[in-house]
Amino acid sequence: MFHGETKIQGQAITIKIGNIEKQKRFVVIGNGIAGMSAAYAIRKLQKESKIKIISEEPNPTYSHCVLPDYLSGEISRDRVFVREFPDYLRKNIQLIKSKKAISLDLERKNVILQAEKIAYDKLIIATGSKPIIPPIKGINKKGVFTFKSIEDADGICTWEGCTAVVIGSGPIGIEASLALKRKGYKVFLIELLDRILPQVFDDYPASLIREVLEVNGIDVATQERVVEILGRESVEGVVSDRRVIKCDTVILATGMRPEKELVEGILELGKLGGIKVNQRMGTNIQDVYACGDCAEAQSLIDGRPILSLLWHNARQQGEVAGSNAAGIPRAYVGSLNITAVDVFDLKAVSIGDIGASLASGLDIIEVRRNGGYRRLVLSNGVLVGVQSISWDEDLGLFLSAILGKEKVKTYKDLMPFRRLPFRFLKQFPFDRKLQSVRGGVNLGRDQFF
Amino acid sequence: MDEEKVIVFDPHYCSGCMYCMTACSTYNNGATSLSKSRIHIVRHEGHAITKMTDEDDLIFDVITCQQCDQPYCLYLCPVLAVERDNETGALMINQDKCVGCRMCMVGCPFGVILYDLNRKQVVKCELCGGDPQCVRFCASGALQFLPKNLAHLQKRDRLARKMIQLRSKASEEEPI
Repeated sequence: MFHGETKIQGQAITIKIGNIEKQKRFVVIGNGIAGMSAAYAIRKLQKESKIKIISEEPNPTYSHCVLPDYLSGEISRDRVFVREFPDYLRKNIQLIKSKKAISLDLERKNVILQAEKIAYDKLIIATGSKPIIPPIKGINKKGVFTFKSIEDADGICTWEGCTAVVIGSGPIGIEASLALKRKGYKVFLIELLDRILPQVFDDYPASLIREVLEVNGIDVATQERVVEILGRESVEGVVSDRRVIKCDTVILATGMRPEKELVEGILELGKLGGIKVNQRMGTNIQDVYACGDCAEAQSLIDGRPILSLLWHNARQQGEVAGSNAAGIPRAYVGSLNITAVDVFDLKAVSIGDIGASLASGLDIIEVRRNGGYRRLVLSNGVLVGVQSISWDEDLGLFLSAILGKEKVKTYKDLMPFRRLPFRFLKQFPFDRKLQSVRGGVNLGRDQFF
Repeated sequence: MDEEKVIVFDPHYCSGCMYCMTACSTYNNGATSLSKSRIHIVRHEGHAITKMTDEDDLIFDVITCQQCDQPYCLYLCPVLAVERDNETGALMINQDKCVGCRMCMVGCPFGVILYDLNRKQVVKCELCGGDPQCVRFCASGALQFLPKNLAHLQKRDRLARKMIQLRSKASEEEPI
């Protein structure tokens, strides 16, 4: 095997061994989970290449999913971070922090920062997403927060307030209001549409979650539009089309949109506003890949392009993009919604599509057992989604049924095994056991070989 | 990586004694409680391949962590607490990182990740650090801990035996 670099007239040339090219320069823009996974995937396949991650933030990679737990004080700030600075050094990945990529020079293969240029052979864009700021009057006042980054969480932690209005009831809105409630705030949750969690739950399960929220003292209002935020410098109240709420904190959780400022006009964008990618996470430009929240990948269920702003999809996309950039072809299976929300004692899980998003061929099976509720969504007889309220065992079966595109008629079709119950111990005919197993219990495997 | 071993189960030998479950819960929890076992024996009746005589109508199967190559628990974990052990190849839960959100339980197709109410964290089969106690205490020899490249041999042997039996039965009925 031939390793290392050969220099001919001062120029470094790459040596190809099989499909793997060595000594390439990889640049990853964005240090979220997608970018970090991509860098790690490259390092796993190529021990010698140079990998640089450009990050706007001064932190190592952290998890957005556990920010509500940090906000409510359940976990310490250190545990939000999933990597530390020495981890990057150990993997020989150079982290360029607190620097923003301004534009791309695709012809000369450069990423342009404010003061410098970074050359690349393969580029991975993982810029992530940013919160949508709705056009509400007085949105720039002190005490109005978005809830996406750790700086936002820090800001809310240090802000002294006691009444909060959360605008938007997606998973982020729900988790933010739960965290604030646990922190001792009085919380108002305002949603524009007719139910809470409109993207991940249907009417009835959403109403069950809403009930639990209201019982525990969160004021939930649907079909209400926030018109104005009152106050001189900081927030003093919120005006909606129905009422005026006195408050000192406003959390905007009205959704996320892909961060595409860097690539606008350079790369091809999809209809939904993300960077258009193929199955290998490649963009329309060669040697440029995109992954994570900013990419518009295909859905696992029907292959239509969707924006998936979820952690596990970003991680898988990052690994696929890194692997392809490193020269090992790998296809992305597709994005799938898996959302779990812990609302006090109730655990609500939604996997796959919801009934409201399907137009035709829709069929729904509802099961209630032991206070739990489960709703299977079928499209033309094929399971495409499941929503489960306070009944979280065996959910993996549904996930594998969705992945396997199984045809389902009744709920029992999905239950292949009977679990061994403890009463079985009493019922078991022990004489028969000894007969039925050839050679008996004590003979062991050696008798047969 | 050729040292990497997997738990292999042969339903034909299993007597349903649940020694494996007892050993697992005792070793990992310090107390015997079958519901806290990370390996589970399930019963189903009449299995096409393993059934040799009519008496063999009760067949047991084992459900334990498959240490998947593309594990959903690993991808779903929001704090990267699920890690693969380089020596044993097992998927481990890093208890310093786990925040107990139970996303891995949602994604696991086998339902083998358990939630520890005392620690408020999840636990799963971690192959007992390379010496699985379920295999050690298996009374009938149904569970074995074999290198990956030998795992299929048992199944092949079983099928061959079955074919020979069927062929001899057929030749008795219709002599050629």
